Amino acid sequence: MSGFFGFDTALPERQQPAQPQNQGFGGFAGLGGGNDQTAFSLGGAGEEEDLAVYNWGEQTGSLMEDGDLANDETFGDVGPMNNNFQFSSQPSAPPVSKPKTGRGPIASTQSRYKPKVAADPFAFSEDDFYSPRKAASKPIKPPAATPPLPRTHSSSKPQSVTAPAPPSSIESLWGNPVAPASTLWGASPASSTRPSGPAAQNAPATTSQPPPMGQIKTLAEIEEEMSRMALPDQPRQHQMLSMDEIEKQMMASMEAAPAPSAPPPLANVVQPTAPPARELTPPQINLAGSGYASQQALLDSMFPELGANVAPGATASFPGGEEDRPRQSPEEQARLHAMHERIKDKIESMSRYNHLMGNSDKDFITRIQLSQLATADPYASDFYAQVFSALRRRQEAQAQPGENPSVVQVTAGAAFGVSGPANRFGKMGAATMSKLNGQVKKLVENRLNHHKSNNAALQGALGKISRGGVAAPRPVLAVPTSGNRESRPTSILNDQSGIRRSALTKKQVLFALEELYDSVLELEQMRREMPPPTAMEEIDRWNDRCGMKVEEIWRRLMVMEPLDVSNPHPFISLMNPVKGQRLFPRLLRHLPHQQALTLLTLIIATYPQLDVVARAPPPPVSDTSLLTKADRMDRAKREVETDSFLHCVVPGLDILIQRCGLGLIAGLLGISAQRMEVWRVACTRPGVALFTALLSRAQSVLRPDPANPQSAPPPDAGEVDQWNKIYAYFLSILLPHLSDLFPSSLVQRNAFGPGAYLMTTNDTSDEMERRDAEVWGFTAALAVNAPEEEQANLVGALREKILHTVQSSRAPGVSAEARDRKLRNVNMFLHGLGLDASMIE
Amino acid sequence: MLLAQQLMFSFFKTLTDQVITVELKNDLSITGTLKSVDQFLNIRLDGISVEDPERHPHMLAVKNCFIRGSVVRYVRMQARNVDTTLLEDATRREAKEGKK
Repeated sequence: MSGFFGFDTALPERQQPAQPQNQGFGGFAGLGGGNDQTAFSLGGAGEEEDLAVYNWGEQTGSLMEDGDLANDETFGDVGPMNNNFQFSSQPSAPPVSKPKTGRGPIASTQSRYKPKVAADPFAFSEDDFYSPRKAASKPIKPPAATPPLPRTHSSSKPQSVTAPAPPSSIESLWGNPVAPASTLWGASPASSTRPSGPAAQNAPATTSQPPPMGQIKTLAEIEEEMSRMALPDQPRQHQMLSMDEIEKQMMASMEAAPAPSAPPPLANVVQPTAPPARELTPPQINLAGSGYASQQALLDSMFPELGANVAPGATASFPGGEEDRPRQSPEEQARLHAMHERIKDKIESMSRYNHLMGNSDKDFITRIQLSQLATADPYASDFYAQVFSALRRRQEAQAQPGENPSVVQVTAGAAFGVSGPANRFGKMGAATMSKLNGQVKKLVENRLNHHKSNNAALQGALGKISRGGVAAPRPVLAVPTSGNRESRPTSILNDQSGIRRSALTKKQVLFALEELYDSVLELEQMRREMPPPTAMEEIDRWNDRCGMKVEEIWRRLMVMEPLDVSNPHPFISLMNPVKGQRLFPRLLRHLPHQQALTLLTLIIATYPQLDVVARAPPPPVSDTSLLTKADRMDRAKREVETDSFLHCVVPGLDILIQRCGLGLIAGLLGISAQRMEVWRVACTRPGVALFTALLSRAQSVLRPDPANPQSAPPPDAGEVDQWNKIYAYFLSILLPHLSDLFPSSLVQRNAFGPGAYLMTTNDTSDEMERRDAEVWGFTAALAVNAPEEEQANLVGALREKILHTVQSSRAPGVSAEARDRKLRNVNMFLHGLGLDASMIE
Repeated sequence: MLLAQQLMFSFFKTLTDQVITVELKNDLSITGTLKSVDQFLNIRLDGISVEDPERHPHMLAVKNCFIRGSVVRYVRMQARNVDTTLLEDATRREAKEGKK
């Protein structure tokens, strides 16, 4: 090699800038194309000066398009312009004079030095990712016209080694159904011994055509070339032989068969130069998987000189085959040809969907993803989704008898929405699902074991090692927290003792409520895990556990505290916040009947201590502008609490009351009459609700409805008597204040003075009407229960109210609905007496 | 796979096939049908529409999208799809697990 990588390092003559240089690199001067005034001419006009004067842009007229003559010199000949462009930098020819052109050593960026075979950083990955054949293709450069070099190898070495590992697949990199792709970045060891197809194509067809450039030859390749050149007359056989094991065996039998005549007829691809043995490459591609290619590469790197010897079997049989060749050709040719065809088709069909992810691949990946999500206990980590979907399923099962899964449960630990990969999992049979489950379990156990072993390893260290996770980052301070919450000072049980205590503070209440919630949640979870009905012992044990849990809840409810231990009673304190009210129906479900009744009694006894009763919000006013903001917010809050109470607690009380007998009802009524100012409580909505419930229950017991199968057995005389007495007493204390129960009356009464603006108009709003309706219902219950003489009193007490309502309903300016409502309300009461509003004039 | 993360993941799993509005940290609000969610709360939305199309004209042609969980600021959904009581319970459980 002369000069610098083949470049002629002679400096261009400054005095003759225009002469195109043919030897070596002519510098840019030659591009001037003879123009004295070329822009690139360094030595041009400013010769006298030491500075180089640049004349760019001084050229008027056309673009300087006359540098194209030396394009070949610059870029080298890259072969025909088609889709088979070779990107790699294989030097086009060995550094000997080429017969083609008279130019000197190629002045291109081709490197004559090949990278170390093992160190080629790119090819392996390409190899592994794509078919090895893609990487394997290397141009063969045996120009037939080049003088054969002295052979260094025995002729027994089949040069066919270098057989063009013909195109990786039927399709090239660019989608053309041909052109073997060549390595992008140079030879992989695997490819080094497999010269590419194009080279093979080029070789036979255009022998004078320089091999595709851009391929870095390995040592092995050079050897191949040399050996190849030694046998220019038999280029085809080399190409036929391949490194593929199967092919080797086949080749062993059909050694020399593929005469030059065979390949050309097979050429059905774009390249007119039918690359011989192209049909062999498909098997090579598919069968030589990623591991195989690297294995081959390793072998090649270890035995470069054997690169040509890839088919030892072939080698062995080569001499033999050589002799047989002439005999075989006629008969074997056809057979081999057919075999080739079949193989090619088979390979083509098998490799049609290469490089695509099929369903099995996607399932594989999905399984991996699922394994990440899998847990042993679905309820532990996936609580919301599980319960939600269970609830929805139950709802829909009731709503419409049909299946409508909202959350598909795939494995024990993972679930997807139906819109997820449901189809795919739908196709999974039972076998795959069970396999999946097994794998998931194994994964979970592995993870658990792994965790355990980790902890063990850390025990050798001094001190405490705490690994923080996302949920519990490593704490900066180690604050001791005792596990037993009951012993904390905020727990009321430890705080004070004695006959009387101060009321629970808000903080204590909230803490107690949270503990209560925890207990209820645990109980519900326990109930969910009921053992199958077959195992009696387990069921017993489970029942015991549930019972214990209920006991714990009962204790935490503090119902058994003495009645007057504090004001409000601890239980009442718990029921004051909305949180507690919402909890009430849930825990009611779990309490046994007796305890529920105790609860009921307690509530009724301490009813006035409830916030919603003691500080009931005044009836809503249409215009609140005169109230301060604090007032408004306070009222709103109270309203919310009341609503929540009515929504959550009162229905529960109702249910309990419905289960009571008359004696109990009488007792409850008596308690309430004794312990509270009945009328004051009755002014509140919860109070009204409670009394209505009691009275209606009494009525239904007293007059059992024959149609209702659930009605209680008729009470005995003693109970009835007791009831009557208590009721009379109840009515007597209530009667004077009856008309004040109505919210509308209340508003009117308070409407004097500055509060007059707060008064609602005669045409009361919906809300008021509704509240009035509640009271009317109460009065109706009263009326129904009332004995004859009392009824007159009742009517008398409510007379004005009734008249007022009826008259307003008949007033001209009242809408139809309002009128109906008013009449309905009044009639509720009047019907209880056997009267009707129409009877009133 | 930390247990604390699972609550939100579990919650979103129940929201699949519902219409939600995702507001991103770059103030882009996207309304669409929740197709799938993963443990990082990455969201796949189908049939999306942008709240303020004039400010984000590049979204005109987008029909489906994948949103990385870390860029989400808010997710808005209809209240009837959420069981708040159950959510409270699930949160209590999660808190207990975290304390353990």
